[in-house]
Amino acid sequence: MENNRELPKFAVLQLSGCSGCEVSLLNSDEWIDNVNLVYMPLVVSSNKIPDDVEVLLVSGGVRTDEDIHNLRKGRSRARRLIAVGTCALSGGVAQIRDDHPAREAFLRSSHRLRLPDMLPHAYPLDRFVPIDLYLPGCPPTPELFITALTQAEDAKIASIVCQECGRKKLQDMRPASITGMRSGVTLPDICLINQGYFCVGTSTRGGCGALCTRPGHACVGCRGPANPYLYREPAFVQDNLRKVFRRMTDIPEAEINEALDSPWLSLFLDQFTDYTQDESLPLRTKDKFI
Amino acid sequence: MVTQKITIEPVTRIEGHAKVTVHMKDDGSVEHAYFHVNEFRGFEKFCEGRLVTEMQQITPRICGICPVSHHLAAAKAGDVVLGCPPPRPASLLRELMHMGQIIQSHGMHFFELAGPDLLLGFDADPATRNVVGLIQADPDLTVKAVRLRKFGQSIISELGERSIHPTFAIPGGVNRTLPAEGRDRILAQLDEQIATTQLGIKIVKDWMEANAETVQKFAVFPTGYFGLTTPDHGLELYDGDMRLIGRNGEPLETFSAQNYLDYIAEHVESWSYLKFPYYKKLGFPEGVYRVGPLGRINLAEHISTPLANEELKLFKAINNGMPVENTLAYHYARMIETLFACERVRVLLADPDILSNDILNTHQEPTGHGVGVIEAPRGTLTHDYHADELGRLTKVNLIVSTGHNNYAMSKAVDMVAKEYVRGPEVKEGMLNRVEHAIRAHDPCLSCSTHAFGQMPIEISIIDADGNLAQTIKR
Repeated sequence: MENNRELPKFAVLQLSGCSGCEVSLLNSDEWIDNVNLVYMPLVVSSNKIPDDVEVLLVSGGVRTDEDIHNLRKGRSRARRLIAVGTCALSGGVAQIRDDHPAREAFLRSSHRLRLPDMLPHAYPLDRFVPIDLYLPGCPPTPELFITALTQAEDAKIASIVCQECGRKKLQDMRPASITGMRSGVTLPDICLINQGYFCVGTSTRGGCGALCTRPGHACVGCRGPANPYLYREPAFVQDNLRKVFRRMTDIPEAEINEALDSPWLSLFLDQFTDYTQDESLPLRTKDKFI
Repeated sequence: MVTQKITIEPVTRIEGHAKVTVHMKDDGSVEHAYFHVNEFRGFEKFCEGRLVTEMQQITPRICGICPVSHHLAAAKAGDVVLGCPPPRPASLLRELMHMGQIIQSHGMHFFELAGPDLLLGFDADPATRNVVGLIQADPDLTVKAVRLRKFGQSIISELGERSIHPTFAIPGGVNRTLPAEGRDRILAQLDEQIATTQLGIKIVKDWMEANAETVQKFAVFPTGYFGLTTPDHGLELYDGDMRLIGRNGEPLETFSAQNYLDYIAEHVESWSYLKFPYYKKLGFPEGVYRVGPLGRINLAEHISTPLANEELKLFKAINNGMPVENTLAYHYARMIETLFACERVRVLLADPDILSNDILNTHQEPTGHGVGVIEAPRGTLTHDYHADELGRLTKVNLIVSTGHNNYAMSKAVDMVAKEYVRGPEVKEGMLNRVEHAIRAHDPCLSCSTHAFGQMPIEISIIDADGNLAQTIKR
């Protein structure tokens, strides 16, 4: 990566998330030489977002009334807002079984003075404020962060993970079950699906550099659906994956269906697509995705 | 009478969301300061119904700073639930990944989160009292610090590829071998990182000597100390029994992690989403204890690697062999552990089993219940799973490191506020010391507020006048 790109004056607001996005940003070498980071509670001692921020990165989902307040305040102070990470785009892992009883039991367990109120769900940001750019990933790679901050307009993002993976799909190597993970070793250069892995890189947005699949870990879909599936319901993505596995493997239909219920899909691909079904949300057009 | 309330929000250079309220009296002194943890995500509940084999991918999302701890604790719990103990090489590889995590997390905390207070001063301009200011003040040191953190991350990604939310450990073992080139890449950097860690130790010791008065005034108080232990009471970060010592260092309990509920309970206060664990037999607050670097180093009678063991002897001499009660000694303890982790990496890489292909036990004899425990950078982390015959989770209990330190952080915040905050003109530097009382513990609040828990709870109901009206036990 070139080191001469000038970062804009930017701030990082974390709502209900895990700080993984922040750590990934810190892993890029460029930010450290740059004093344009004006607010990021994890590493910067400023208690408030300045009024004239060029770009505000927001990570985490909206889980409490305080999250809504901070998000709206942040939006009003920034020229552009970038939603980063799975939680900001879908509510995140806290959303996979968003359970009222959990919250109620906790609130019942004692009276909670001076604490923010929980919302009934973990919400994505665009339910509350307009978003200029979506940066999916759990977390996005440092390179994607820098691209989003510096040259989002003309960024070229690989449409699916396979494009960046480089592993070859073979016609005559057809696994009979999803047992790749059990073998402990992977053959280099050959598609993980051929080797019996439940890899969903065929439907997942690229841009990550295929950092999981190249060394032999199946893609879990953390970048969310590729452009063709952005506005589609979860079943459409699942059907597409089913076709891929039918075409490339002899894995029984029942086993494929069970894998389609796997955590990856509900954690990532399904979640993103679930939100396309919510009519109160603005349409997320592909030109706003990086 | 409380006449003024000062709010510090958000508390900076810590992981997660917290605020402090300082209640001032009209003479300008502090009546009480509260440490509020004001986030909540609810992990335990939404994990119910998931497969036990999914947990090592789901639970790292609790925290992006120490995802490896959750990843490994989940796999260890899965080993027991599914009855598939990992082969020795797999345990070595998991421990290697864990050492990478200790190095990166401790390195980040010492140099980037807490370091600016020590190196630039509590009263330095907040605009530059951060890592950027550190670069300007000491570029050479900052570059070394960044390389130390990256070294830790590179060990993790050598094994799990993604250094944040890795994919590596699974019940029964791990899914990838370590190639010889990977081992050599790690080894090639080790000497440099040990030197950087030793430099960090020198910095913290010099600072403690130059600021001896502050170290003695800054939240010094007795507690018990808690953590994993080797069979002969040495420092242990990956696997072992749990051990608790009292405020004078006297041994209280040693027990298997599988039985933790017999010894530990949790207390709830109305002003925090974070609960307060304590030792059952002594009750709350007498039974409170500290975890993390200070807890473990007070607990450890020796360390298995030579350089760290020499440093441990110097640490023990601070209080003539008695536990060190100073909150600021957390920084010293943290760097001793970093040194141990670096040395331990060399021991693990020299083990002939580390390159073995025997990394997964596929023979399962499900038990339906298992507890996985690990010393996360911030303290003891426990994952407790119950599962049905299909491996679907019926009950999940996560006891995270930072929770154990909740009492200590609350106490330290109150003590430091009373010591340093004076009205009517409260200066920023005073409040930064209050923040540092939290920061020194390196809390991870995303971790600690994942759940509402299923442990025994004692609830205090406070009436409108602030008096205790009723106590309820569950």
